Amino acid sequence: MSLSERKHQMMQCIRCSACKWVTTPRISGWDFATGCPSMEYGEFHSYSGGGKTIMAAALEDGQIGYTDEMLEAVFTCSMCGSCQISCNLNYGGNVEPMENMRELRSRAVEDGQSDPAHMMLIDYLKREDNIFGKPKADRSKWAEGLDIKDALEEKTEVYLHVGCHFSYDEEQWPVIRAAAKILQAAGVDFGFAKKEEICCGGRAYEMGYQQELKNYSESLTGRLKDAGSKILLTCCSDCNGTFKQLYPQAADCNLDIEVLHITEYIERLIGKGKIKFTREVPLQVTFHDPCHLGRLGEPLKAWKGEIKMAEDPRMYVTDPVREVNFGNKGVYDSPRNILQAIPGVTLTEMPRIREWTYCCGSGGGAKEAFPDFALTTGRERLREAHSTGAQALVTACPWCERNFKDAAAESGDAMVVYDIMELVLQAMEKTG
Amino acid sequence: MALSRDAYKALQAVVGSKYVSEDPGTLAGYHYSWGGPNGRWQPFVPLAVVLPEDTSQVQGVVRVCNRYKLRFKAHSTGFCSLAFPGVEDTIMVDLRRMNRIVEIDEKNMFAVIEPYAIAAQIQAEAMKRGLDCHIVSAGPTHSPLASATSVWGIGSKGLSQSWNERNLFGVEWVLPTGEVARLGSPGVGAGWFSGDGPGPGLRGIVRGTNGAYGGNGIFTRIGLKLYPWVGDERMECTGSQPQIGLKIPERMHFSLPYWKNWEDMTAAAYKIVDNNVAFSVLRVPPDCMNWMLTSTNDEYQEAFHKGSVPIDREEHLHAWQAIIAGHSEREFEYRKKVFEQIVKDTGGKFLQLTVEQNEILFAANVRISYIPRVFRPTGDFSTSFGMEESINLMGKLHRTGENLLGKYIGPGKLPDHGREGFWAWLNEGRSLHSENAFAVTEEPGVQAANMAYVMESCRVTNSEALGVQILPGYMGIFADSLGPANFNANEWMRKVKYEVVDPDNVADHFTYIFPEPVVLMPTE
Amino acid sequence: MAKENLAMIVGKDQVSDAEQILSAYGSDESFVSPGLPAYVVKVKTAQQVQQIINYAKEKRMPVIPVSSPGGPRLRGDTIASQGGMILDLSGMDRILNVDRMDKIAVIEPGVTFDQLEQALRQKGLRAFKPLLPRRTKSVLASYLEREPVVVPRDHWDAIDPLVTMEVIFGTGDLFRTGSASSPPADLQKQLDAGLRQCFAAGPGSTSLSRVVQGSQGTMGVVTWGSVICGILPEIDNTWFLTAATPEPLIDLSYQLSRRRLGEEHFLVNAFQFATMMADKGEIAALAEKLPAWILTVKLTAGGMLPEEQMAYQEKDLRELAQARGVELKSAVMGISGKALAELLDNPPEEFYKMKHRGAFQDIFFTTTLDKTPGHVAVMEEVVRHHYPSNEIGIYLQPMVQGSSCHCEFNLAYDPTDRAKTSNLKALYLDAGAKLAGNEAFFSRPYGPWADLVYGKNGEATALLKRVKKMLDPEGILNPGRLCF
Ligand SMILES: Cc1cc2nc3c(=O)[nH]c(=O)nc-3n(C[C@H](O)[C@H](O)[C@H](O)COP(=O)(O)OP(=O)(O)OC[C@H]3O[C@@H](n4cnc5c(N)ncnc54)[C@H](O)[C@@H]3O)c2cc1C
Ligand code: SF4
Ligand code: SF4
Repeated sequence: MSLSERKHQMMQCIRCSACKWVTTPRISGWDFATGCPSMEYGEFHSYSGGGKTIMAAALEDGQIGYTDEMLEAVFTCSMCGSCQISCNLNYGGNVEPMENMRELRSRAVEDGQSDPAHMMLIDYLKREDNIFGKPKADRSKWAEGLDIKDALEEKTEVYLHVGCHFSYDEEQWPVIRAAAKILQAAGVDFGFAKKEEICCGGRAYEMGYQQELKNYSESLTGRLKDAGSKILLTCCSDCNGTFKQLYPQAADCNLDIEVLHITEYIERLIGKGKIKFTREVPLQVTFHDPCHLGRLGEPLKAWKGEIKMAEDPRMYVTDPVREVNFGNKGVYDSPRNILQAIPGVTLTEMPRIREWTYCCGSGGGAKEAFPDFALTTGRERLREAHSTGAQALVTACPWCERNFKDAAAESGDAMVVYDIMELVLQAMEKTG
Repeated sequence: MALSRDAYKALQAVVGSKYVSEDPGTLAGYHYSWGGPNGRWQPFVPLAVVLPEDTSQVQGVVRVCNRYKLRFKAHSTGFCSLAFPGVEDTIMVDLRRMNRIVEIDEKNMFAVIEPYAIAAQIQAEAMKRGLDCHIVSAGPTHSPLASATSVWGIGSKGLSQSWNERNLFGVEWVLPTGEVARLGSPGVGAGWFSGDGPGPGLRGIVRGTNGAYGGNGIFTRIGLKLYPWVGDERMECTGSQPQIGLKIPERMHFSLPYWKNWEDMTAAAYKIVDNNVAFSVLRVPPDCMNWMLTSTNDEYQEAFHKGSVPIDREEHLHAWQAIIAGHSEREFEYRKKVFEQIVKDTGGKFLQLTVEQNEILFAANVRISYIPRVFRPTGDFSTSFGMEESINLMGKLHRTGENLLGKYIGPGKLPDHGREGFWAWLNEGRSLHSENAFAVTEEPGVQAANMAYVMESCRVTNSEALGVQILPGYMGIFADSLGPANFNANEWMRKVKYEVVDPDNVADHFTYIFPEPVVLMPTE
Repeated sequence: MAKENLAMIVGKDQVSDAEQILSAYGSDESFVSPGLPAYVVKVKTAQQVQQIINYAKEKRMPVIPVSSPGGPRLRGDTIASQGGMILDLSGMDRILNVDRMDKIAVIEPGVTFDQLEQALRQKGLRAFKPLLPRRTKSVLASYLEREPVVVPRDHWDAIDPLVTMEVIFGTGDLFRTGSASSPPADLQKQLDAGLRQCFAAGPGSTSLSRVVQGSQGTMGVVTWGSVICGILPEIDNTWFLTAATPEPLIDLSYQLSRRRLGEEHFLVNAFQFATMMADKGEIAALAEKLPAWILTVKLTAGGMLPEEQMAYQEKDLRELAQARGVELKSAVMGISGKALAELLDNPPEEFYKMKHRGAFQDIFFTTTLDKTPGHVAVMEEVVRHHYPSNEIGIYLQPMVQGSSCHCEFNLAYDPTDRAKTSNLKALYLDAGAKLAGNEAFFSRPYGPWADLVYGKNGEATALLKRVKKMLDPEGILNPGRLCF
């Protein structure tokens, strides 16, 4: 749906500000009640999901044009979807602020108003199939010495999509290597596309470059067909969200393969007895639900239809009936079940979790365009982690981990940040 | 008019340059509102929006407005449909940075709050201390400070939590002249426990049944009365989004008794009050309950046509949703027993719902989430025929309202959601709050029918002697129509605004009282 | 000339300038300087009140409204400091309606507690009363003065038990507040239509009744008011909880407020209790023997299952007391709860505070209960060497459902002893200032307390003065009071 096609939904916004908060039944105190990092950073209403929806409507209506300030509000946003979940609580998908924001960004791109930092990323993407501008040739460097199959050459049961972040962030190589070792130890038949792996396109889409998503989804569909694997596995929550939600919904793409995040898969392997924990990891942890693993990883079907006024009783309905992104079907229990299975680990929850999680701050191209926003948001989440008394903040997404680590370093915060794979591997490895 | 550079700089000097904006995109969100007769875009775009951090900055902004002959309009969250500028040359004062719960005085049961501390936050903090915060139907995201000082403040837990005109304690008030008045005990530095005196209670010019919706200055801090809560310190959510319920705590009980007619339901109400057995009682139209019990309009439509909606428009028309609570097990058991006996004695029956449904409706009653969901069907709603008076008027009120609303329901007019839209509860057991809240669309025919209904309901309230009107209230354009029938209340409002509080009319008067009478329709 | 004009309005025999009648209003029990009115004018109707005010406005003649039919007058608020007339409303003493269902009555200003109580009892209702009001006290005047009632449970807001009113402002305008303002204007027709004047706020965006309340007659003259009442219980049991220090009882009182357990509920020290209960001359002796602090709680039951209701309440009360190590007693020093309850229902002829030494001064203010031990300490410090601290009567009355508290110190003295009197006057002023410095809120600023509070809060005071100008532009209503 283009911005023009979303006019009805945009004008359904009632400016209630629910999108600034976590879903209201979950508010458990004064602190940690807010849901929208953008709003916390920018303060004006225009920074909220509803505010951006209103700006989008005003733009569509010809009331306003682009200004630096307006674009700053549009792009200082991690596209985390908290607004959407809170809005949908009572309005059942009538407004869908994040959908409006996605279309607003796309319109900005069409109008040549993309964020300059984003333009650069897209430039990289076009050149090297990753937004970091790193050479394609280096994509599989992380796996050196690990003896992993090339999924494009050999048939494997599991097609691992590593994702750009793990592929190029050297500091995170231990995590992705840990994932690979875990799979190997569990005897999983897997491979990845080595140097030929390409971006999932999700980040580009969220920055407003919708065609990139379509292009990458088509490429991946073709590759998967050729590879003939049964499972598409990703260690990156961002890719998880892209495959499960964006491809069907926004790229009209059905991958025709079971898509799993590594936490889901490991939970399965534990269940089958393929992974056994032999070592204590005495650690008090709290778990950060990555947006794209949870609410934005909720599988949603493509919908083409109309919103119309039912006559009796009068109310807006969708035809055919459309699924609403309530966030319930995200991956929430798998990482928790894994953590609970690791001997010695105690999990204490933060106030904002599951579908009402608070974003790390790095999504949607925000970290690249507005690093201070990302760090501020990351610090807020670290503060929340501290409130639980945890020694470590565990997550399951390289983007989140990177941002938390940066935020902690920048503010001298001693909180240790782990990817869940690191703990799993620690618990599997024999002592000494 | 554009904002002069001098004025702009003066605002920047007060709040810091980051917190002033005159960007059209930013301003868009400050002249957009639901509930307007002309759709969402309201005609006056503010010249700028400012985000003050504290009372002295608010005062500074007001002084700048005085100096440069600008108007101002404050809002707390902006949810209320009257939070936009009603006149030209307005500086919008968005109070969201003033968001603290300054204090919760657990023993003396009150909170000291700033404008942008929302109800859900205050309630959650209060519950940790065995207390609860009165929440109006706007629901968990509204500002109780705005409600108590500037709007209405009526909510369905009124039986045990009164309403916010009465829950207001000490008040800090930046007058449109730029003075800061502290009413009641905070005025002499004695704490926030009282808003009346020394001597006369100036709360009486802060507000009446209605507040001034920003037309009399900016309230920056208040003491708000809290009420005992026997439930858990932290309510446990049940179900899943969006059908989230609350686990019904020990010593609390939710039920839905219904009667054959208004008279029996009224008799039960009196007995409930006299025996002091209920924590809250609420009547909402059956359709609204069904909206609450379904997650989307699509789901509701399907259930409606299958006949599987749990609450029947006819059979369950005369129903209270009741919560019983006891501080001790003994008290709880006694109250439950008496309550059940009352229902029996008055010919009522209990509607059996599933545990999940009970929990959802319990949550809707405790957290007050009915009204936010009333937006779901059509994206807008309206309210009218709202008054406060004797419980004995319930039958007459509902019948009169139903007949009246009936005339405006139909194709091209108001949607038919059960031919009536009555919400009612008992305030302190001393009066009945009753209003007709119903979904509307932005279609011109619907809006015309809505306006006509609102006007006629005002007339009928007076001609049928149904009590003092709260809704649509005295806001702005209605004041001079309603006032003459109420001993010229409009003229006293005018004096308060222009002689006492705001002689230069610096605070936007649009939703309060115009300098000269504006008569929309005679209501006598 | 004025006398004739006034007589034209109210009738000749309703206007008096006889010295003997005037002098009854010239001074009172307070330290406020005496001042003789020129006339005492008795009115019967709102129309007369309106005409009088219009006349006084024209002549700029002070009007001091007085409702109670007799003295002793205590607070200096009805002294004609600037001459003018006493507007005596005590003849407007009709009870206009009592409604059992809505538990509300409509009364004129001359109605006394005795009178109201009698009418209510017939319908199974009871009045909310302050602690042992003098027999002649006007109900409306008491409520307008925000005298605390002894039933904090039903005192939701400062304006209670007052609900709506008919009032004539200093402008001469007749106004109705709250739901009494809604049509039809005629009260009887309102009642016939089922309206019960039971909603206090408004009309519109003002609640001017709040401004009239606490104004000591400076804003308007109330000609009737609706007042909420309680249900007459079928069973009642009055209990005493005693302790050597106030703290455990304060804690208990908070619990009672939270649970809304008990109707009458207040805390006094031994001397206050003795002053209320003992005969003249036996007060000090009784006080000696009593526990230092006594919390009185009256449990009531009625409705559908009165016995069960009483039983659970008593058990709950006992549990609360036990948890704080406080004993629950049905009598102290032979004085039963029943005796106290009876006294509360039927206050004595002689105003109890005068009993001990013939005169008294009371120092009272609003605070929160937890701060009262601090105020007591301040008071003890103030009286040191000047007044026997064991003869201060202390009365703590939770208000607004326990969210605030009326704190009162009673000091009795012999008015014929000039030295003691002047000592007490100095003490009275000193205590006011010191307590105000200790966060005591003199919310009802009689006499010298007005300067204490209005000087402190310039902007609210300026605002109040503008309100006064709006409602009484000529400044005729009770000039010299508050900050006007
Ligand atoms: C869906 C819905 C249902 C509602 N139902 C009820 C109901 O049943 N009962 C009821 O009592 N109310 C109801 N209301 C109104 C409700 O009282 C107000 O919306 C709410 O109490 C005020 O909080 P807010 O955050 O919405 O205020 P805002 O929208 O921020 O402001 C409300 C008004 O007060 C003014 N204002 C706000 N803050 C200040 C301030 N600090 N100083 C001066 N002026 C200020 C604004 O200018 C505006 O006119 C409803 C509102 C909505 C949106
Ligand atoms: S986007 Fe949704 S939640 Fe946000 S203001 Fe609009 S309607 Fe409310
Ligand atoms: S996507 Fe996240 S950051 Fe962006 S507006 Fe919504 S809640 Fe805020």
